[in-house]
Amino acid sequence: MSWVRGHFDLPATPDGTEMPQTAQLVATVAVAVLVAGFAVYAIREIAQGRSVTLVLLLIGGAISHFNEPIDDVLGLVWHPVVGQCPSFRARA
Amino acid sequence: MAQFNVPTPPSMVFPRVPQTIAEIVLWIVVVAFVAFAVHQWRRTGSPLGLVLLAGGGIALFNEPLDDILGLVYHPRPGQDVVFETMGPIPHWGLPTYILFFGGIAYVLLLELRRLTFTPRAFWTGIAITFVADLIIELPLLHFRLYTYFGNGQVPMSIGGFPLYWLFINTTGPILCAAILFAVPGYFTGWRAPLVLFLPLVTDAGCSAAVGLPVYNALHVPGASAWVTWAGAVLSCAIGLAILDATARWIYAHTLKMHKAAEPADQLQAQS
Repeated sequence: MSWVRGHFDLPATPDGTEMPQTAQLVATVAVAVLVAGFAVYAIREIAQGRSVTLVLLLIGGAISHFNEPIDDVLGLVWHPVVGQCPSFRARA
Repeated sequence: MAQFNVPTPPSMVFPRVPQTIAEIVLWIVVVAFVAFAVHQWRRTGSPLGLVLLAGGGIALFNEPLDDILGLVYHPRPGQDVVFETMGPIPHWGLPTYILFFGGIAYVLLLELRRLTFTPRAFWTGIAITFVADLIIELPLLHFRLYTYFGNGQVPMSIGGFPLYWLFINTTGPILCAAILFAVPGYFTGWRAPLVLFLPLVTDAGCSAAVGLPVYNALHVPGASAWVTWAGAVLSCAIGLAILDATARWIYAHTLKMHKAAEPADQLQAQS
C-alpha cells in the first residue's frame, strides 16, 4: 500500500478502476424501483389522510446522501470515477 | 491518479515558542480543573468531573476527522505530535480537548443541576461558550499554530477563524451536559463507564451534523464563494437548531424536576 504524504495521511485510491456499466445500470434501476415502491406507499399514506411522515423521511434520506462523501473519505470508500454517473461531486 | 478532492494546505512551520507557551498555559488550566473535580468528588462522592475530563481527552480522537473534513492544518515541521492517524495531532490539542469537551461540559452540568435554567440563561451560556472558544483559538491562530484553509477564501472568517466552527465546537459539550442532566439513569450499573466516551460521541456526532454542509462545500473543486458561504450559513443554521432543541429539552426536564420536588416541599411546609 502506498501513501500520499501531504497534510493528511490518505492512502492512494485504487488505480485503473472503472465503473462497470451493466452492473451500474442494473443497480440503479433496481434501487429506483424500490424507491418508486416506497414513494407510492408514501403517497397512499397522504391520500388516505394518515401521515406525511414517510414522504418527509424519504426526502430526508435523500438529503442524508450528502453524508456519503464524508463516509467515503473517512472510511476510505472509492467509487471509480471513469464511467460513473455521479449524483453530485464534493469529495470524491 | 484520481484522489479525493482535498485542497493542498499552505506551507507552514510550527512556531517553537508559542507552541511551548500554549502547552504550559493549557496544562496549568487543566490542573486547576482537576483540582476542582477532586474537590467536587470529596464534597459529593461522585468522580464524574474527573471522568468527564478524561473523556474530553479521549474526544481528541475526533480531531483528525474534523481536520480532514473542515480543512484544518497543523504544520508538520517542528510539531510536538501526540498521535498520528489521518494526520499528525499536536500536543496542545490534548489539554484543549480536556478543557473544552470535558471541563466545559462538567461546569455546564453543575449549573443545570441547580435547576435555575431559563432559555435566556441558556443563550447567555452559549455566548460565554463562544467567547471561551474564541479566547482559546484566536491567539493560537495569530501565532500560526494551525490554520483553516480551503480551495480559495475560507468563508465567514474573522482573524483567521471561520465562525461556523463556533457551532461545530460548542454543540458537542452542551449536548453532553444535557444528556447527563436529562437521562442520568442510563449511566448506572455496568453502563456507568460509558460516560467516559460521551464527550467523544457528542463531539463527533454534533461535528458531523453541524459541519456537513460546509465540509462538503469546502471540498467542491473550484467552488465559488456563494457555494462555500451557503455551506457555512447552513451549518450555522443546523447548529442553531440543535442548540434550540437542546435548550427546550433541558427546560422541559428542569420543569419536570421542579414539579417532582413540589410535593416534598409542600410536606415540609406543612410539618
